[in-house]
Amino acid sequence: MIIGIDLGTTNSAVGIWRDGKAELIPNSLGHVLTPSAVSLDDQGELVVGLAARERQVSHPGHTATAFKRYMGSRKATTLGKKRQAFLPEELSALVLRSLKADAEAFLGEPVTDAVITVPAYFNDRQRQATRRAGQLAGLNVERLLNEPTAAALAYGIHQKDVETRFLVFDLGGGTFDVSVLELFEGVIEVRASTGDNQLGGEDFNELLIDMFYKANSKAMELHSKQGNPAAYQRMRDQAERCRRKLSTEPEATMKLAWKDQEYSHTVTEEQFAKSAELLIERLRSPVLRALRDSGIRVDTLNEIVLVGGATRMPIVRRAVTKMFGRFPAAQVNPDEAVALGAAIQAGLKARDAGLREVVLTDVCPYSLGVGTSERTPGGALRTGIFAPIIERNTLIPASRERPFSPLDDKQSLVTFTIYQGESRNVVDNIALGSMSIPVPPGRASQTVVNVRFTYDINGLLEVEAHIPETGERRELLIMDDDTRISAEEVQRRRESLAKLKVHPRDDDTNRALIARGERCYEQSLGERREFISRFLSQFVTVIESQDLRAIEQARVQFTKALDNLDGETFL
Amino acid sequence: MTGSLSIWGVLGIGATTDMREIRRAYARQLKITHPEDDASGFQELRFAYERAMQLAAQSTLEAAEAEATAPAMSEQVPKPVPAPVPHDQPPPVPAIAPDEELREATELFSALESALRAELQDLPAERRALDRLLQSPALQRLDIQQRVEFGLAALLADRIPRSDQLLYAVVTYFEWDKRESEGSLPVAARQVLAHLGDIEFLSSIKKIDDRNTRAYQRLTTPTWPWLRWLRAHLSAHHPELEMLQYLSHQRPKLFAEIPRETVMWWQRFAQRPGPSRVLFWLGLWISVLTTLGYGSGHAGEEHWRQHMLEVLASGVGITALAILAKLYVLDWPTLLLHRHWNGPPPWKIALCWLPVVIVAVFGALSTQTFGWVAWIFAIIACAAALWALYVTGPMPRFRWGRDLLEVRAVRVLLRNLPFLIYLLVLQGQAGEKFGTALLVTMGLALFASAFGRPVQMHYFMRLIPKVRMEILVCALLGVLTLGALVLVLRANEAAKPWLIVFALAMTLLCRALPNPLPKGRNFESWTFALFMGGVIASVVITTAFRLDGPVGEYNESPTPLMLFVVFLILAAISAIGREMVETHRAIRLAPPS
Repeated sequence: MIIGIDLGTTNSAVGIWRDGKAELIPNSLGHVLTPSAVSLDDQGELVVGLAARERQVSHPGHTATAFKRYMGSRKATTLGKKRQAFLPEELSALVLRSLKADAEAFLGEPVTDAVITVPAYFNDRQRQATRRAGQLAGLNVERLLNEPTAAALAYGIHQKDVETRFLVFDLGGGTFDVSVLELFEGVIEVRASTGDNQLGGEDFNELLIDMFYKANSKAMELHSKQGNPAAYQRMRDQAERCRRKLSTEPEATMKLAWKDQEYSHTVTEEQFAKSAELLIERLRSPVLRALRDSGIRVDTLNEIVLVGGATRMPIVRRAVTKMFGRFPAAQVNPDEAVALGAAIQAGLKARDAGLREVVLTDVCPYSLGVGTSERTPGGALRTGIFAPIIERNTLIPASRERPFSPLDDKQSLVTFTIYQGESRNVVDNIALGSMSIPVPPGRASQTVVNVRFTYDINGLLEVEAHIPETGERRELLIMDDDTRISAEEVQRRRESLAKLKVHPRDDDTNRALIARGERCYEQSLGERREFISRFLSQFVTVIESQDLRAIEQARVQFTKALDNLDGETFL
Repeated sequence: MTGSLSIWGVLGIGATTDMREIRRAYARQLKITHPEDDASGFQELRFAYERAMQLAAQSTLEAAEAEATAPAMSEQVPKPVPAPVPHDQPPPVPAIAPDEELREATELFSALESALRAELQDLPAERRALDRLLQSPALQRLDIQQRVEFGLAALLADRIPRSDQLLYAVVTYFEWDKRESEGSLPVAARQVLAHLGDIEFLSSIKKIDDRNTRAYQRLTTPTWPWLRWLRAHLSAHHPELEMLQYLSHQRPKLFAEIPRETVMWWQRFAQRPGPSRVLFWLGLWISVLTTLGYGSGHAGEEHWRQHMLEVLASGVGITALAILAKLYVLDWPTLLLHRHWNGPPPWKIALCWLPVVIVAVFGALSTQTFGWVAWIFAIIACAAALWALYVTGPMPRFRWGRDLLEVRAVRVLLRNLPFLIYLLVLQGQAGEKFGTALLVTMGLALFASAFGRPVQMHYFMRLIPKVRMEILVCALLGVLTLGALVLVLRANEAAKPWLIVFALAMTLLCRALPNPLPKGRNFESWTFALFMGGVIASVVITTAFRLDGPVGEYNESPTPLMLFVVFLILAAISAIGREMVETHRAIRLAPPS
């Protein structure tokens, strides 16, 4: 069976196509959403999910969240007492492993194949990293699916009989994607796909953190917002709660306990809306660009689909409504849509008989090309001009070729640097790699080198340079320039990750609750703190007694107590 | 890309302009050639689909254009793969308050339109109307914004003379300048951008005063035809031609404003080859020199006035002859030849220095009989030299400093200076026997050989190494043969000019050929061998003259041994100098990476 995984910035989910429908698989806590958080406890053992997210506040140095934003980079996070370094893809692999375990427990059989979603706007490096994360988790990544396409699948675009046009507005924790899709005759065609890799719910949280920081930094004796990680994580947690509360209530308060003092700041909905104006403005340009590139008229759109937890915010909904003059569709839970879509794609992949035949075509959301130079009339050399070979929003798989010739007769080698981006100057684009091909000297400027870019359906780029005259051929599969990661190294890293001990599944609920208690302890003062402390030690004692019924009862009580103090757990 | 099947074959339907049918066919085929399974088949199918849709769209486009509606709020021009709204599609979900915002936008748009179409131009009012439209909250809605964008583009393209001040504001608001290269830009917006470009161009013409702007002014203002002719023929560069080229490609509207007659004249001029200023002066200099040389035969001060008149008359006549000869004997055929192939001309042209040598033979022969005939031949010789010069390409633009050495003329001068000096020395020793004609002719022959060399080298390099070696061996043999000939025929007075010329021709050949040899050990040995061949030739020549001929003429002269030493030194300087120049050039042009 192939599972579909939504690997999100804030939360992840896993789903399966079964009995003619897509369903989400619950984790060991019984939730369908698993926070994308990884933590190491004091014994150096692994904690993934809600428990890890709670530990973000109590043990910020041991926990990592929102690492999807750094996917594809070499930014290492150190966790735990031993200061173990993890790459973002390794952290994602740990989350994927946990989801894999959940799926196996639910289905009662081993799971090896998966469809993983990525933001449509993810570049090549980020996609490779996601693929590697799957491999490190022991999963064969059948397909990398773009999140907006998954959302469209979840909205049953594939079940419609008439021509339909969708605009998918996906505002997640860390990324923003806009896609325009069209369905006709059983073909789902992505017409355009754009987005902003640096815009998400977290950015709205930052606004609230800023407000709190401005009000309280002097009193708290903080010199910079992120200077003190413990304080910053607590502010972040409070900001998240506050933002969610503002979705339903006109005002909310952020409270922080710091050095035996309690600090707070109240924010009204209007204040929040005002401070978020700039971010809301940033939502417009990807939408405009996607519409323009698709060539579709706005009033011919049938559905505007909202995906991603951040679209629950009234300010976002209002902005979307203003943009399109109609209420967007939100029948499917915005947090679950992508995972359900991934499950549907998994089903399509397995050619499950329950799914009507639908073919999905996707586009490449960015332009790919090489850096060239030209001679100005004065004879000077201008380098760093981008020559696109595959233009953005070209249907994939695509293979395009362009001829080039060396500038100077005396050259014996030509180097091609491959870039991804839209700017005319290569300095503003992302360099993916480079390759060289020898040219016959003495006549170099008359030699023609054909460069072919082949972009496959998973978004992996292969570059081929060919000189018809001499028959030279050079190929390059775009991989991370710094580390050519071989299969052996992947295997080695997988084994080292496997060495991290995970607790037995049955303990998860208790651990999550303990982590939550510890967080509340950190965040409270005085009497409340005492209260939580007592409750915690009581709970630990009950667990050690191994009496299942007593544990169950204690758990319920503790949860209720924490809910009263903390507000309910959100995901 | 579609291989043997036409696009309709790939789609599996007959040719049609019904878009729905094309789509259905594409969808059917897509299920067979799944993009995940058959990447290349899918690409073929996709190409066929897009092309079919494009063809279908064009026919509906024409139909739509035939029934044009009001310019305001116009329809979007469909893209090559358009997305038409089928008739039986359920209507989109009704908007919240569609009429309200749309009505507001329509009202503001009409207000702007009436302000622009009003009889009296009221700039502030137009500006205000535009600002109100662009800042209205109705434009928050993307579909309204789209409609307004198309409507404004059509309106501005229509009313351009009046609405110039508004153009910038609109272009910036809708980012038309940033989207210029994208297909999603409406056609009317492109027209607006073109018009904006025209305005910027015209304002830059007024502000900046350089060659190009003056060319533009000359194009647009009527001028005396003969003045234009003279200016065109006397200058080396023709900015008017460049400006016309630029205008016809980038500024079609401004191009249309230039008088038709001017455009036609310049088109004819571009096709006809013209003399360049440099060659004009060169021709003049040569003719002055030759006339002076001719006139130097006259003795006495009393003839100086007549002498001056002679100089003037022959100077003018010869200059005119040179220009005309250059124009219609050299340039025209060259242009015709260049039309047929890019790059260097075929080997017939490559032997361009050979006629010079042949003519030099006649020149040398004639020196002994008719003086003025010698001059005619000398002029023809320099014309042929100019042929070589012209055919191998124009002189590069002159830049001071390090680039001085890059200029071919300077390099040629440096290379040939030792030999010119050698010839001068030789002539000084031989007196009138050689004559100035020969000197000038040989000098020009050297120039020509230098200029013709790149062409020769190009063709020499194309030969396989085996053939190249053969040629070099023949050259060496030729040199040795010459030496033998000179030794044998030195007694024969009549053969001497022939021998001299032959010797010099061989020297030229020896000089020219080693260069295209591949670098490395072979290079040095070949250069040395040929260099020695040249040395031997020169020694033989000078010895021959010493051994034979009137002893008296040579008694005052330095010994042949000294001459030989002088030659050696000059040749060495020349060779080293050339090497230095070439290496310097090679270092400068090495590619950065």
